[in-house]
Amino acid sequence: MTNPTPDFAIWSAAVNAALLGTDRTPLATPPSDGALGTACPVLVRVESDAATNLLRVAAAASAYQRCGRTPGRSQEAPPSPCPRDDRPTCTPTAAALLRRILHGEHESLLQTWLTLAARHEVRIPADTLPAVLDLANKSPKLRHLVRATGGARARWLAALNEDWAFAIVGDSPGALATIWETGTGMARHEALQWLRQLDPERARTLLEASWAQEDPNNRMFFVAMLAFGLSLADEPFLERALDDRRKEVRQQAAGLLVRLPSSALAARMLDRARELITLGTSTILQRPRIEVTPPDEADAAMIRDGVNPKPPAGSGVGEKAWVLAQVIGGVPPSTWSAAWSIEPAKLIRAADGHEWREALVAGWLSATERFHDAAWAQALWDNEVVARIEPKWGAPPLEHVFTRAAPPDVVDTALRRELDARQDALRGAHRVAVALLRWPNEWSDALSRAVAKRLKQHAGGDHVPFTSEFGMRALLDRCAHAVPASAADAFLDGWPEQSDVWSTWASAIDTLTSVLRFRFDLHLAFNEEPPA
Amino acid sequence: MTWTAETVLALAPDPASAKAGRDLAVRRKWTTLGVSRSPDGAPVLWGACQGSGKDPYLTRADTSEPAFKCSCPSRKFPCKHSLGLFLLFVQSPAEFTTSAPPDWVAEWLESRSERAAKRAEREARAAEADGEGTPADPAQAEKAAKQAAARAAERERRVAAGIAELDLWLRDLIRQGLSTAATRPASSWETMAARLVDAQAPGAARLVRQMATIPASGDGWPERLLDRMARLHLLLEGYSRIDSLPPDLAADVRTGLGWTTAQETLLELEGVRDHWAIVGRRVTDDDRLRVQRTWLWGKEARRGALLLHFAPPGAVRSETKPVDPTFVPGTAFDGTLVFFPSATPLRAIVKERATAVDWPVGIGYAGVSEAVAATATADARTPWLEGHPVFLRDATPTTLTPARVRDAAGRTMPLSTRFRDRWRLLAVSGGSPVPLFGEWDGEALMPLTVWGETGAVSLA
Repeated sequence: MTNPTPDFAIWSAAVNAALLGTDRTPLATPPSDGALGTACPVLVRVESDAATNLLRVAAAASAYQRCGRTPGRSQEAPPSPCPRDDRPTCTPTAAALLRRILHGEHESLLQTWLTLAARHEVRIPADTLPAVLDLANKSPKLRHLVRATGGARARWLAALNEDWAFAIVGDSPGALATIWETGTGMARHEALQWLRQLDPERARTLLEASWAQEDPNNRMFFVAMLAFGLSLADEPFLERALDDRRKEVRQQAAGLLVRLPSSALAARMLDRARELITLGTSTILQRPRIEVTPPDEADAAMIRDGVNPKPPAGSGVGEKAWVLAQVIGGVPPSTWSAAWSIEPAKLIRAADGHEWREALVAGWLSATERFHDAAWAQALWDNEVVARIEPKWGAPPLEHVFTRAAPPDVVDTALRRELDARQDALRGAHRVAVALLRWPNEWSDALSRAVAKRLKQHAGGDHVPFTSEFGMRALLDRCAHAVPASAADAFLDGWPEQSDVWSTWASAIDTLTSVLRFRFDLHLAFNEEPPA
Repeated sequence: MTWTAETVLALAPDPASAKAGRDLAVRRKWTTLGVSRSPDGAPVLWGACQGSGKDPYLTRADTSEPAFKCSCPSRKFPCKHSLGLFLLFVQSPAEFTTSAPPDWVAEWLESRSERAAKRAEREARAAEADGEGTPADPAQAEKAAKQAAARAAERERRVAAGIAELDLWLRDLIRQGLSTAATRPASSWETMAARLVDAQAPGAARLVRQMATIPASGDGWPERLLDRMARLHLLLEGYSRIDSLPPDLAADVRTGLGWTTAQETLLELEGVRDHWAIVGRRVTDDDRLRVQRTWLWGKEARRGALLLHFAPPGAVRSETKPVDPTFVPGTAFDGTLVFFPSATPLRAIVKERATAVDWPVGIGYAGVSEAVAATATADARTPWLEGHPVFLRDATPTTLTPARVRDAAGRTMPLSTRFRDRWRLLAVSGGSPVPLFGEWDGEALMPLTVWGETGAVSLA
């Protein structure tokens, strides 16, 4: 900002002299006919010592410079302004609630806030965008919501900050393709993922085109992105990926192909499975009987199709059973019930007491989850005695399979009935409690009330303190997010506060009610009346 | 004053208390809830709240001031029960039963009104002693005046002695060279500062303490240190011939050294009536005090004004919590300010705050050149100013590094390297010109407030 004029040299001389000390280097003011130079002889007086004179000159020079400063002129082009966003801003109340969330109060409700904002097509207040983008960067499940609600301002900001690359991508497949082709790092990942949702065919074509040049470390992530919008059109590419040099890529590709029932890989799996199990009839009881021909060890073709040949060391699972479970897991479970004209429940019961029960069940659980087979999900859930196996088999737990594969209303009804019937349904590791934790959907009014009723019994009736209830805090947290407004009253009031064990429950229930109330304030702030 | 949930929560000493207060604002937390009217019509509230202990906590609130009392052991004030009670009343007044206050509330109200009466009496007596009324005894008044004059003279003598010592100390530093300053222990600065405090020149002490950190502040420190020393020297020279200075400049010198002006004296002056826009607020911890700097901008006065509010740091825990929450950036009031005497009047106190008014449109500087010219004029009049109010009507924050703002003519101001909120500033501006207020130290701008489409946004 300052020009090196003769007057400026006076200041430099003063600094140098002061640095070394006037005992060694007295100040010699350089001659200058500027205003400051003319003033120096007046400031420097013979009767004063050298230090005082230096301070005087420095004081004048410093003030002179400060007052004579002219502002700099920018050589940069001005920033390109952000395009207009014609959506309305959210209500001031909604903005205030968002700021509270961003200050750490009920951070888990940011997702709810963004979902409501997306539904009402309103803008996120601009000043909160950096904090929202930071949180979405840390928590990928928020990203699509931020993309949907952030608008032009979020994209404009994201273009300036690599951490926020996920928000750059717009809605135009053309723009996404350009980012994929010319962008770097995370921006390409985000672009491909989003493009796959908008135009699956184009996304795969782009990936195929650049496949040979892609960093082997990234290939696994790119293949995994094909899970969304998966179709038979992806088969040739995935089939080639089965021969990739990286094991992770091969496994991802096999995991996708097996989900395509008409793929060659699925057909190969079905052939293998048919060789391994057949259905006969028990001679004594005239009941269906599953005949198992245990496989030899997994051959190269099986391994190529994604079969993992060795059970985890020390698991105690036999190699043959391990391979059997995986082959069955790769075949839609409806195959068996259809081919043999037998209800899933009967087939499951036929595995009861079977020498290969665990391998069969592990396969069915995996397959039911993989192919979202509602009938099998229900049948497995209804035959828990048979369908429960140890985690070492590597199959998804029964609760997970049921809540993912059965239709929501079926899950809701089943859980409510069991809650009504079973006093201990929310106890410890009971399957209802586990299922409630794993099920991501909102609960029905009736289910919520059934949960509240049981919770209140625990808090009031049986002298078991909260602290000894394994998983109770997680369950209450789930309640706070899953209960609909219509059932809120069941959780806000009527707690057995006179109970002997209440003091151990009080703070957890406070947290629950505080989150619930905050959630309903959110709905009100977006002008959504929560039903009374 | 009409209380809302927001204004009640603004009373909370920290965010945790605000949250706890919100959670207690529920009917079922309270076994009794009552309300009556104080003599001036403001609601007086009480309630019993079951905590973790055996006995419920008894909470009382007088909404007129507001004042609180609670039997809980919390040392926070107001405590979460007080906040919860007040909040519950604001949200659902129907939950409170109107009745005569029970004994435990009545006793509190009584003790408060007794204290208030005593205070009023004391103030009346003090006002009398100040010569407001007829002096009771002329001889005694004369004696008091003599004593005051003697005290003032004693202070002048001590300040003069302290300053002579400081002058010698500064010159020693220059004689031996600033390069030796870098190797001095921190205690050598602190010792000098402490002696200045003893000499009743706290302003000079503060300047010495600020200098102590400069040798370790990186590139260019000798320039910065000499600049500070030269300015301090100017203050000392000014004091040595203070009688020959114009009164306003003399006042600047005395303020710089640490004399204060009694606010009562200022309030007797006429002041400047205007529509004052609250353009910025900054809370800092400075020398064992929490200081809230509130910047105002006058619509007709066309310049900035600075209000200072102080609190001991213990009283206000949260770092961002304002000392006086009623000055909200982005609002404006019709009122009268009295400026402290200075060649560049900047610091002021509020004499009267009549009514809230609409935001005055079009205030601030049109561009960077105008802002720099105005601050240069101020610097020329008063070379000891540390931060200038700069309000730019149309500032565009730039996206490249180092961070700057630019005006329509392409003139720029660099932003302070201590500014932490650049992303929010950019988010609000979106690359377009926005109104921006900040403190300008001659080198860099510290943005405090930016205006976006939903109003003022405070920056950190």
